Amino acid sequence: MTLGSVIDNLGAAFQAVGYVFSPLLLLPLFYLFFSRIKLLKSFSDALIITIDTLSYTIGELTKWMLPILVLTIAFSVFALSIFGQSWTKLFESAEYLHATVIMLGAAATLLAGQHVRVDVFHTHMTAKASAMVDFIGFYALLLPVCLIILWNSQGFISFAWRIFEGSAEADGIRGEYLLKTLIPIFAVMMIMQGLAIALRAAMCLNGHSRPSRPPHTPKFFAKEDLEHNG
Amino acid sequence: MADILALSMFAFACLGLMGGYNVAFTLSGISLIFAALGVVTGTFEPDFLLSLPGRIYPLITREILIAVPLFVFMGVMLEKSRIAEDLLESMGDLFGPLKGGLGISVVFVGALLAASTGIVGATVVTMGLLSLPTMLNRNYAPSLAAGSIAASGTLGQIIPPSIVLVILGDQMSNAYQEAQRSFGLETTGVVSVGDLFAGALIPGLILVALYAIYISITAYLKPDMAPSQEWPEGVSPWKFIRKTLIAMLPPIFLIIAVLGSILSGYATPTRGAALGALGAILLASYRTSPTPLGKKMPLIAAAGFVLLVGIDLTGVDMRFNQNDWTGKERISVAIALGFAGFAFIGTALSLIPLIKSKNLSDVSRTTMHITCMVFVILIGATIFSLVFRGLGGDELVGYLLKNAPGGKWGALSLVMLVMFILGFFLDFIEITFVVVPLVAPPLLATGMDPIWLGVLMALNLQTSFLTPPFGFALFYLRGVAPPEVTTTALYRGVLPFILIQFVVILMVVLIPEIATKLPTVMLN
Repeated sequence: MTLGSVIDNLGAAFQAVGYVFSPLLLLPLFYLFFSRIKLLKSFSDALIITIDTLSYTIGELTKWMLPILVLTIAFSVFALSIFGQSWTKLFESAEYLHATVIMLGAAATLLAGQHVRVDVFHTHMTAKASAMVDFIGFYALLLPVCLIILWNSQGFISFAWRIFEGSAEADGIRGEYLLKTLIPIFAVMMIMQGLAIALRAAMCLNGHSRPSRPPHTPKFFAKEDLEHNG
Repeated sequence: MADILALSMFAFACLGLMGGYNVAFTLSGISLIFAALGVVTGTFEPDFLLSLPGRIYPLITREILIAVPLFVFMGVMLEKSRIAEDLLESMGDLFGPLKGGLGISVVFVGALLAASTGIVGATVVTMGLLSLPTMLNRNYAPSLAAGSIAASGTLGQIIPPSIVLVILGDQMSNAYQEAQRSFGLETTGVVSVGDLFAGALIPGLILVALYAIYISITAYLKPDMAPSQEWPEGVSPWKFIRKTLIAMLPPIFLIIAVLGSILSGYATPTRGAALGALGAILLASYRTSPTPLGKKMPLIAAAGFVLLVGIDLTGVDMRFNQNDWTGKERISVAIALGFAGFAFIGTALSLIPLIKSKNLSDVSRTTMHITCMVFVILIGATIFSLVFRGLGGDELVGYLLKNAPGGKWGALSLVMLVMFILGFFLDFIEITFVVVPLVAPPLLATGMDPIWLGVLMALNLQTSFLTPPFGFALFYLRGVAPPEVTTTALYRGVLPFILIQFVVILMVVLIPEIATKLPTVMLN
């Protein structure tokens, strides 16, 4: 088997995994209409907790790259300007740290509700209305965007993997294909976190309690204190 | 047909944003809906979207944009070190006997805090929580207090180094190249983030001065609006002066180091930002460390860094790869390595109290949230512009601006008006990402100076954030203000500051040198 076909098979395997899990995307919609089913509620709770924990843990690990980023660049500034030393790999590692923070931290940011909203009206909405916004927003806005990014990265990523694309510099880091792979990972993580939020929104719309959230993340729909009753 | 789609896409995006879903996904999601409509009506090529990952990738790896998380880190770390509180308190005491002294202190602290996150909400909320109660306790008129806080809270955007100027500078630099490429602008000049920093500095300082002058005039004419407060009996004024100087020195030193290294061309904005973030770490470690030994570590590190730079400034060649070593150079390198060792170990040990107190963890988390928020908006706005261009919207904008009544000034006024209105419901970052790439190339093609245009846009947006009834800054301040500050008082208080803003905008329009002189001087 050639390298190319190995990569092709790997890609096909990931795609198959994606297709297998894709029905889950309909879960919030399903929940909205069949809220009486007990099993559905406990399954959804488990799913939300799994996704939240995953996003949160990845975020908590990723954030430590920021102080490392600060120290790396500061170190390279002094090494270059005073001792005339520069290492392309060190310099490029800043790029890697930066891109990783953005792509892997975005889902944790979504979980924490820190992506800005226009709150001219949002702050005055009832909990149900803002749950509706989150529910519709997931299906109409977030999901299509992330799916398009995911779908369109196929050619982009497979090309980068096929040649194990590295830096344009001769002594740079030979990992550009990994860096590019962060883009579909970002899309998948955002879809998952969006799904968890849409599920919470569906629970809120049905007046159900919602599972508790990881620490340091403000509650959604804080006005209705349902989360403490659960 | 495509034109109608492009225009209604813009309108629907503005409407959709009001719904309060994620800004990034509202922008990109609505544009995808219109892309689908375009495919149905045959005015949009779906292949256009294939280039999407190829467009996201450079956004997350561009060197200049790495400055964003670094500046945010610096700002959040400075906030954690509670430097603003100390500064405000000691300056308020020192200038208390002066007419309007506390108000002027608020303006100056706002200007110093400019190095903070640069996100309107964050700065205004910090300033509001910090200084509004103090001002009200000292019997300042609620309107004057609220107005000066809202205005100084927005100063953070226009005074470098601020992340919005980094983003605006980056977009402006792209737009300038676009103007040269597609609109036949006949220059080969480039504009950098550092240029925009230099350009915004003088207008920003003029604003600070005018704010302060307005507050003192008010205090002079109507003393009961800004009552002065005597120093306590028997305390020598020197004590206050010393206290203020001690509180002021570190942030001023930090800002001068960051701005100086960027403006003098010694470091790129990204590197300058990293130095600033490092300085903020040392400062926070010094101020929050519970043990005297812990307080020494950042001092050792700082001394190491200063001496290291000092020995470099003597001009001795200390590069490792050289063939003509002299004895003096060998000794210098040995000493410098010693200093570097102190700096390195001191920094490492300074981190320990920050890690123990969970401060570093909190700062990193907040920085990650803000950074991801900014870049996801950047990605969303990229999708928006991509579809907008695919529908021919950029040609439409170019056509509209070209045929605007009043030629290039008419076009400029039109753009400024649109940005001003957008500023009512969108933050600086969104507007910069969506509007600047569309309108700046045709405007620059008429021969406008990119730095001048950037400074005007920044001033314009800052004014928009202050303008009732929708101004962003006012919303945030309203949220943290006690009930005795009525909304009417807030609106009334902010009006004079808006007037000052317009005066400065007019000054920059009439005398472009205010914005363009410093960058030219810096370049030579």
